[in-house]
Amino acid sequence: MSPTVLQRLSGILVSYFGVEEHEVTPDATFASLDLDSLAIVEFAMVAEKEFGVVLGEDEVSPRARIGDAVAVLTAKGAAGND
Amino acid sequence: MNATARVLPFPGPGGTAAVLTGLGAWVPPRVLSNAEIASRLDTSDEWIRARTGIHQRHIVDPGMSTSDLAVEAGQRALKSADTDRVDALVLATTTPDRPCPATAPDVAYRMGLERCAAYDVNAVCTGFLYGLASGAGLIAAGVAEQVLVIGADTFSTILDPDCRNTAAIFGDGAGAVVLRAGSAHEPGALGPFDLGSDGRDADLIMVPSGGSRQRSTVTPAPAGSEYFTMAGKAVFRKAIFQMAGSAQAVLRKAGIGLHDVDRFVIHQANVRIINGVADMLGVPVGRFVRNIDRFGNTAAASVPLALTSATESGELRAGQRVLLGAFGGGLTWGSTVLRWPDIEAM
Repeated sequence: MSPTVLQRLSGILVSYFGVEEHEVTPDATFASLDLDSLAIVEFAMVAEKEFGVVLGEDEVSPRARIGDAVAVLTAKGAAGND
Repeated sequence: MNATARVLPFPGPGGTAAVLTGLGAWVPPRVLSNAEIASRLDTSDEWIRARTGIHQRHIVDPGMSTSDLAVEAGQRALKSADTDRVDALVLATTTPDRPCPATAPDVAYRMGLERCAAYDVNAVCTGFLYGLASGAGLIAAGVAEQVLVIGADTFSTILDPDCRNTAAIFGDGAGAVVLRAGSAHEPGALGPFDLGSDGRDADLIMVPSGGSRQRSTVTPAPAGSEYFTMAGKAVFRKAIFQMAGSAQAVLRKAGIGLHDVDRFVIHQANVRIINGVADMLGVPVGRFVRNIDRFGNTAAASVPLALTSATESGELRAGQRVLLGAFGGGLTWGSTVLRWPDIEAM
């Protein structure tokens, strides 16, 4: 079974942002995972490479929840078995 | 990173290249296992291995200091280069024997290198890269013909004994190289370099007290503020992005690509950080030298210690193109490239 968008997003946060896998839940905000606005820019860069989807500056912020990011990515056509 | 960055010739017009001719390393004999850490802190061997890739580290015994490690590594590098004379000694360290004076003159004296120029460089875990650039600069400027660059740290002496995160990560050690004046076309010629810093994030990696900022307040330092602290997640992320960015910057300056690099020898911060840099660059992680399992993060010593391990194991061989990179407190970062010379590590 292919990984879900949430699993792929979690993989990015664990591999590049030092986040523990169990911390990545739909309700967690990026800020609660220690991602500030600069980290969000870097996150968007990696996500673009991973999903082939461009995230606008107004679409993901430190206050956004992981679930919100999954919804935006999915709406933009990110592939996953959600 | 600016895509239109100017490509600078290296060394500059009329400059002399610094050629690596000797390599050595030394770690104190005492091994500190994960199990020993787990016996006094809330952690486990499995937890440490999974999150850092570290199985053990070496630490100093009471009474041993950074200069002791530096002397051992320096002597091995001189032997490897088959020389007993240098014009300058650059010691990269964040854990000097004393806040004043620098540790390098004492190291030089004890090695019998009397009267040579000697000074410390503090760029935390990037210290060895800054030291190499400093040594290459002394040679290019005609100040020295031969330079000993040592990276040595004893982070076990500044760690909070109750902090499981830093206690598990750091180890003590020293590594050293000899540089001599030569031609940019020789194997072992260093350069170009990419060096940088970002002081906005100075607080991410620090020892809060003991410096002029705290001491000028004339109030006693808060309990525990003499220990090393590190903001884990932010440092993790910045280490990956900055080391990947610096590697790309130095390759642009050198006019070569990632596929031209046979071995990447970067700061052994955490095996997940090394893997992250490899992923970010799109390079198989098998081309990255890793010895963090045996030594942990040895700060300024980690790059020359990894070079020594890889030369001894045959992973690093004469003729290979090697990229050296590091990231550390400051924040600081740096990279350089060289064609690996035919040398025997000691």
